[in-house]
Amino acid sequence: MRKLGRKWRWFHRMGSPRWFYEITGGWLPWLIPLAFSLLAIGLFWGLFLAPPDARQGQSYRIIFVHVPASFLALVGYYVLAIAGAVGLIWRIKMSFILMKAAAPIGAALTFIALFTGAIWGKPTWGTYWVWDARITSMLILLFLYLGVMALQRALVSTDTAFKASAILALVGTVNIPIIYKSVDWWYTLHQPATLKLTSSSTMHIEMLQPLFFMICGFYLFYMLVLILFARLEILQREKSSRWVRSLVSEDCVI
Amino acid sequence: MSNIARSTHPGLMAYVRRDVSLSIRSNSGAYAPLLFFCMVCTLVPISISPNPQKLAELAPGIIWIMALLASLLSIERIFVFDYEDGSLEQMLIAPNMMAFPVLGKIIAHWLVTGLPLTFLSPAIGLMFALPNNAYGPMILSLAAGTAYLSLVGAVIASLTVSLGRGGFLISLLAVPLYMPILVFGTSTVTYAVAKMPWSAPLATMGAMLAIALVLCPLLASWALRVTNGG
Amino acid sequence: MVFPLPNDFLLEADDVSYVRDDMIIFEDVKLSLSEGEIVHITGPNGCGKTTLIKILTTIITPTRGAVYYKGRSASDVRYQYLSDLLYIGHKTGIKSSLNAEENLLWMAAADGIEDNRIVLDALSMMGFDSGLCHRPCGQLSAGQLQRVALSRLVFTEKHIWFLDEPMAALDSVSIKAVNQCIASHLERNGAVLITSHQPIDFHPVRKFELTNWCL
Repeated sequence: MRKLGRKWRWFHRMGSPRWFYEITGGWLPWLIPLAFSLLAIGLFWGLFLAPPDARQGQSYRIIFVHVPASFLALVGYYVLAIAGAVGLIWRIKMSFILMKAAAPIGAALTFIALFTGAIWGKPTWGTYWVWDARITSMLILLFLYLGVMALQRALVSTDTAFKASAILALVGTVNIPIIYKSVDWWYTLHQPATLKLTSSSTMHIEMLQPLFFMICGFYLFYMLVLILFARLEILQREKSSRWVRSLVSEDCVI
Repeated sequence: MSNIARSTHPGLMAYVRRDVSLSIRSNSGAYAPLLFFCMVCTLVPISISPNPQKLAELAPGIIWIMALLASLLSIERIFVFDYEDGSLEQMLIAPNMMAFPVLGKIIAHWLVTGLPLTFLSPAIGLMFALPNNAYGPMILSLAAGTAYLSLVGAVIASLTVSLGRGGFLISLLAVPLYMPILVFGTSTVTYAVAKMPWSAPLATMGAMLAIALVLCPLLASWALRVTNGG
Repeated sequence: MVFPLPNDFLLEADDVSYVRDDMIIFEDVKLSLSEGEIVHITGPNGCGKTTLIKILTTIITPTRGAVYYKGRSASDVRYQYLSDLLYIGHKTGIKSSLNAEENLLWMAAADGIEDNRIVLDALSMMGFDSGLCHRPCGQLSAGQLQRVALSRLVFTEKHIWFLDEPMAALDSVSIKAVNQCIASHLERNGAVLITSHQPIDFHPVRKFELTNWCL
């Protein structure tokens, strides 16, 4: 009985924006240098130290941005959908705030993935764009992100906006695999395997090491930006509450 | 006898009848998507080429895109009038499960847009020099596909119901979700044109329709509760 | 087992609070309604009268607290509760392309009545001009629309009525007719919950004041 009480108290506290704001405030001094140093190491290693690719030469180096970005673009959608689902089921406001924060970050990452992919595609396959299953589903993913953001913005009541965009995010989650499979099936139908994008198995270990750093760095960077966006949203939403006011006046004194 | 036993709340069929007659009575509503479908289809040969061979190649995709757009244009009407005049609140407090009236409204939407489109499509196919063997698959795929479009569109329409009419948001939200059915719909017709067996994509469409038939009314009624403040 | 409220209130709101967009609309509202009783909810504009009625009719879920129907949670006995309530809000649910009779027949079906005669009688009792009967409701005035919607009160057999500003657009003759309907409903042990800026002239009317929490 007591255990349950403690568990629920923890749950309740986690749902409180103020608690989130205070606890993440302590994380930031660690998270910021860690994320940026990992990114710096990964970039330097990947762009200058790693050997050039046997077939693609120097142009392959864009994967050190492209791969982590597309990876997190996908992960980000699940973060968004899970945060939305948790918010819907347990009615936790903080979860909705995280969902709202995850949408623009995910959209930006998806855009970076598409953009770097196009740049990479030109020297490698001679074209900026192909209607390949992966690329097409990435584009749809961007639309899904934009849709969640647009719905969030359009609905006047924030409570309704949170719930409605969470439902939309869940519907989108069901659709992502269907979209991917259908586009994949459609593409193989129209263009029987002219180019294979999957060649990760041939990657040299010296290329994988900096890539690993970049992926870790992107993960931390994603977390960092998510936390910062969520903190901003908390301050905006709770601007009339006493703790935010005292926080602001404290800052002014210093 | 208690009054609970006597009350006969309008169910699925009552909503189908009511919504069909309402959209027929409203001045332009029911026919506008159909007209749109025909008008845009006449633009295609003019803008691309009157060459029958080229048209026959494009026909499956064009007919399908037009069907999708026609359904998209009309889907916002499914709940927005009910929201404006308060019928939706009455639906929310009906004791029966809300998914049934919602399904009734979706069926009505399909009966006034998807089904006439399906019947109209052979005429468009004729004008686009579609080969004879493709008509059957086209009609079947459109019948199943437009029903799917109405079902999925209803979920999106219920999320955006409080935003009123004439918004672009509904298109932004619905188009990504319409993508898979478009792939299988056009494939069915393209296969038939190429004289390949077309039952596989059609069967996939049937499976998707079956799933949507179960899930979408539930999702839409949940979303309607949420957007009405629940 | 804990029985929450062993009482014979037809309807009870127990410490209902509603927070919307980080704004407290109202807090810890206690409200009860017995058979044969009329409660008049009053309060300034924007104090949440309509929201309270929507919470009581289960359209809106309260942030805290619950609604009880005959001592049991309304969400547990949802079917029985909703079968027993009638709600006429600001937006009355009238379709502008249907005429008055058709509109009322649809609503009557929800009340368990499928007889055209009863519906037509109700319209004339409410003072609705029979010459307008075949016009689509989109051509009618606000007061006439209100009369069409309120004609339900004549024939409905539901127990609990929720009327949100029913008199707003009515003339004195129709107000009289509505009051008559309410009186006979109370005599039959029905219950009425009403919001209105007009004074309600029933003898045992209980006032329920909602204060403005937003201030």
